Amino acid sequence: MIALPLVEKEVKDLLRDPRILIPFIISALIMPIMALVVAHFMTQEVATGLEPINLGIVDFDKSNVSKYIVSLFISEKMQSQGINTELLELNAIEPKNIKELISSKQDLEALIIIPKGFGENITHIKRSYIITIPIVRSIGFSGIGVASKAERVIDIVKEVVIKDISSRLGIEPEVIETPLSTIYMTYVTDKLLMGPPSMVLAGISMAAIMIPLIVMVIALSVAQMSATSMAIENEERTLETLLTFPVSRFNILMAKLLGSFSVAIIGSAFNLVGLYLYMIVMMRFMTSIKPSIPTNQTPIQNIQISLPIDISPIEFLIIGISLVFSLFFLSALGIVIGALSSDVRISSTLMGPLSIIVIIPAYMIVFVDVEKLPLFIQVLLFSLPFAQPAALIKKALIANLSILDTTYLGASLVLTLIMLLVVAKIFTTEKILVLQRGIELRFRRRKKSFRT
Amino acid sequence: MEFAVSVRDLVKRFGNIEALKGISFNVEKEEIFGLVGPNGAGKTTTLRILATLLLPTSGKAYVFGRDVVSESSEVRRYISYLPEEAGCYRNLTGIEFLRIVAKLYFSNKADVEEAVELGIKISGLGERLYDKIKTYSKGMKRRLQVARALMVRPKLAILDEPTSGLDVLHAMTIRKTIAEFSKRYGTTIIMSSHIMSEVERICSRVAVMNKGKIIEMDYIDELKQKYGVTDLEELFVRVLKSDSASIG
Repeated sequence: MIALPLVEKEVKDLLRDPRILIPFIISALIMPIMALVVAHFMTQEVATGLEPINLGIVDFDKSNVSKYIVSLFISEKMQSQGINTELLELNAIEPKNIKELISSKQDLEALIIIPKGFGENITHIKRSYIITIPIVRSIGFSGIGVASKAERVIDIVKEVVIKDISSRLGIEPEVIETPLSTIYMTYVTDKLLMGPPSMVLAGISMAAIMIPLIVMVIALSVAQMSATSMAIENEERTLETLLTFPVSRFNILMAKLLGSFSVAIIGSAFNLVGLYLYMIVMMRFMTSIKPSIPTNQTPIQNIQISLPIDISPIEFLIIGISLVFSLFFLSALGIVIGALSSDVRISSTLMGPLSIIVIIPAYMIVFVDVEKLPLFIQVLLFSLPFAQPAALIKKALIANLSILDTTYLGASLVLTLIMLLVVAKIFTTEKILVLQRGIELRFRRRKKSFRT
Repeated sequence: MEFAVSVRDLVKRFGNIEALKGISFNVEKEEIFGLVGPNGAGKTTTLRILATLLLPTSGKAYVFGRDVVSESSEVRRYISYLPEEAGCYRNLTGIEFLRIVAKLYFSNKADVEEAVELGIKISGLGERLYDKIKTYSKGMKRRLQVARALMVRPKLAILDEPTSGLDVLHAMTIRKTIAEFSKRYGTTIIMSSHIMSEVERICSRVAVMNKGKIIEMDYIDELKQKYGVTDLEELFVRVLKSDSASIG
């Protein structure tokens, strides 16, 4: 039977320790804050795009069309929309002249040059061009704002040209603007996902990199928390008393594991809330990928247009079970490290190399095509409890989990049980105190030799 | 006759160091037995073996007839151990700490509450028990630990330097508590201490240890008579001197 009072002690002691609780809260807050910062700059950029612009316009063409465009820009209507236009003169379309003109007009933010032949091309329904020069006077977000402002001006020119051509041809301006709409679906491994390949692949890559990494970070923080909690028992000299209570050593170990596990669940919840808030904030600023479909055509049904993440409930269950084994395994590992450390400093030093051992498989899973690795490495990555959740998540994102993957759960369970038995063995004898003393002496000797 | 503690030819080695060199002694039920000796004499090692924290290299130790190695789980049911530098869980309140420990010893709710009430009384911390332990002074923490060790009314209390780090007033209170507690509840106590006056006031019998061996053991009055001294401190010096002379 598990000693519930000890689990209670663990949870209370851990949750009230600011060294453990504060990182959890920070992780939950930092993600939406990051999203808000990014969103703030995005909003600023959009807002700058709508701010008044000082525009210069040079008309080499002097055609009816170009004259109409110039008069439109100089009109009061445009001024009321924040476009302050000045008609300028230029000797020739040459860099030297353009530079001279821009440097002589310090408040100018964009320059439009209508070259000769512009009006004639439009009259004969031929491709025409104008020169647009956004004037970036400083590097930074204000520069991006200037580019947005210039885009706004070009859109106005485009609109005039399209309207002119469409009225003469007698067709809808939308047809000239977008003669063909495309609905993109991308087939990735065995999933059909909505969106152009670049977007789908970017979405999958982002999820396939970010989610396993977040899971690994959570798992490592659990190991770190268990190690710290156990090292504190040593540092504060509470372990010695704990081991003389009328509770079996295995129960003490299980209480530690369950305590850390419960707090880890709370910590993971904080992380997930942070991630969720990040997504909510970012979604508000994400442009929809929904294509405009002509009304007389049948729209495509039953295809969700969302982030290209498609994990079934059964896959979620498999990943969840794998995560539980993983957290138990790493918690037990953390307890060994903490138990062998006479203080938190030694435990943190020992956790460093351990973290590298855990991180290497995670990086392999995230950045390497696992299926192309030698079979024994694949089996290892899918069986090691600390690597398995990341491997399963990546596989579930880009393909579907198979029956074979459930057998890997068995392997993970066996390894987790072996780890528990090893930790229990250390707990059941005086080894814990003797080994701890040995490590402490080694650290002291190293420190001494470093000093001398 | 079954002894509360029975130790036979106990040897403990840490690598090349022999911390205990074959010690033997018995502690009778309801007795308060003291282990005295200079630093490194082997007092704490002896107590740690009895508390099932260390395994003897050879020899045997029994607590109420139970082997501390093969029947360690049963032994832990009889004992309550107070280490010299016992720490507390900083983020728990004193009362929470007492209640959690009580729950580990008793499954019955009434027994738990009875133990907690006793703990509150022994600690003498009053309202401060509802504050987090990290706000306690060293003396308050020690009083809480003594309360924790005694409130469960163990058959054997193993106390390593129970008044370690306490001022005169607090040390006196704890000494009084231990003596009264043993008398009232019939608890056997085995304790170590550097303070001879403390041992003299609480213990009936003592074992003087030096370099892993017991060099003298008897009732305090008998020993004083044997060495013709008036107090334990004088006795301690005399015993150690004669031991050094015999080694030399």
